[in-house]
Amino acid sequence: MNRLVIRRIFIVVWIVLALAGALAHTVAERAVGHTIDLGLPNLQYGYVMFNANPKRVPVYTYAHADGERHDLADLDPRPALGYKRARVALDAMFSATYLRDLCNRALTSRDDQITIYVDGYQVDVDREHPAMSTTEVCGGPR
Amino acid sequence: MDRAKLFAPFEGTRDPRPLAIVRIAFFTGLLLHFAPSLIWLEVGYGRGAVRVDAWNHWLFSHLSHTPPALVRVLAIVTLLALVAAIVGIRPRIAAIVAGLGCYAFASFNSIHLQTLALVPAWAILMLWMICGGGANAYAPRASGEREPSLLPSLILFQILLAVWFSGFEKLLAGWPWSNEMGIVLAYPHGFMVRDWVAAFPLLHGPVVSTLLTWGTLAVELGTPVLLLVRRTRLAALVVYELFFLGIIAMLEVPPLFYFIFASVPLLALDDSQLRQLTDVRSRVRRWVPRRRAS
Repeated sequence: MNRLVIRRIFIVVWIVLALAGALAHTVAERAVGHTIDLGLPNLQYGYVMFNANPKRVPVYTYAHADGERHDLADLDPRPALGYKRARVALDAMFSATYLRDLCNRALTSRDDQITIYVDGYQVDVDREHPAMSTTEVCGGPR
Repeated sequence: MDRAKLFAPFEGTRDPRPLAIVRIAFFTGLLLHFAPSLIWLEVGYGRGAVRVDAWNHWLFSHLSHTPPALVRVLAIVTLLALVAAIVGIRPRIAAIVAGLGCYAFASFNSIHLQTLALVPAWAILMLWMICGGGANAYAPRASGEREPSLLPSLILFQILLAVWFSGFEKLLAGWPWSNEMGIVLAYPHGFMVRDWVAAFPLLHGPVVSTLLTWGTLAVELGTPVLLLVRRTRLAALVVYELFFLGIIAMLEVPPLFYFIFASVPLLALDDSQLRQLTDVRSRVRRWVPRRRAS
């Protein structure tokens, strides 16, 4: 087979796979009740941008013993240009143990104590005031 | 149908500058995305780090047994490959090393790497590994020769498909009747939206959010098609760029997302349209000193 034919086969295969990957997460989910994994990483999650957005969302802050609240993103040493708070919020939403890990890493001394505040907003009801609030404490005098 | 005509967009050659711009934007986005995790390595990849499995399960299970020194070396090699790709040194080899490195680290621990931002990145990396190219302009050994059309056309197809299907997914999710942008814009200070959006009352009313919901659908379903039609291309490009500028101005999304989606449509421009844009740029350049002198 010459190069032209191989190239054309590659083009067709790539286009068909890309379309199949898109359909495997849209039409297939409705037709067969679940998505189809086509193996390739670029086809693993379909093509999604903010199609379904949560109505209950958390806002994370923290305070040391002095009680002054700061943005939780300040605890993570890794910079994130322009999306630091969103990154920390999504990390915390997707991993149950992330908050505790972040908190423990940020302790500066044996007696240091950090309280993480999680304010949950039901945005379709009231976007100004949290519907629920919880705290998580790490560290403190032992 | 004539096969040559069918495959024409993927064959032949084109101006090397748009692909070089995409190369710089894309690999810079990847570098900004991965560098924090690969420099502060012990936070995400050290012993006892909280890890999430989102990509390759085998790598997720096995990389945790890798000696830390080797992980550090892999991180440095990955970062260097990303820099080489940005600069334009052996972009295909750089894409292979950077792609394998980024995929290994994303599989090792996906937390902090925003899974959905990486979906289009894997596609572009794979295409770059297979096709190569992109160093004929804005690179140390740039020849200025025209680039084969295969890589730019497939990247363009991939990204426009992703944008169109994002719109299609929204339709299936009940847009525009659910006024989903009303929910996004109602997010409080500290979650996803930028501070000015949370503080700007005009954006929280139903009229503006409904218009933005419909506008989002129109852009995502319309511009990928209109960018392919020569007559509507430049107008569609302006609308498309404003849309993604709007997203990054309003929402806290990774720069990688913006760098991919904003740069790739430049690949739709043909030679005469690029000349038109270059003429506009040189006219502006001539006009600015005249204004300063007067």
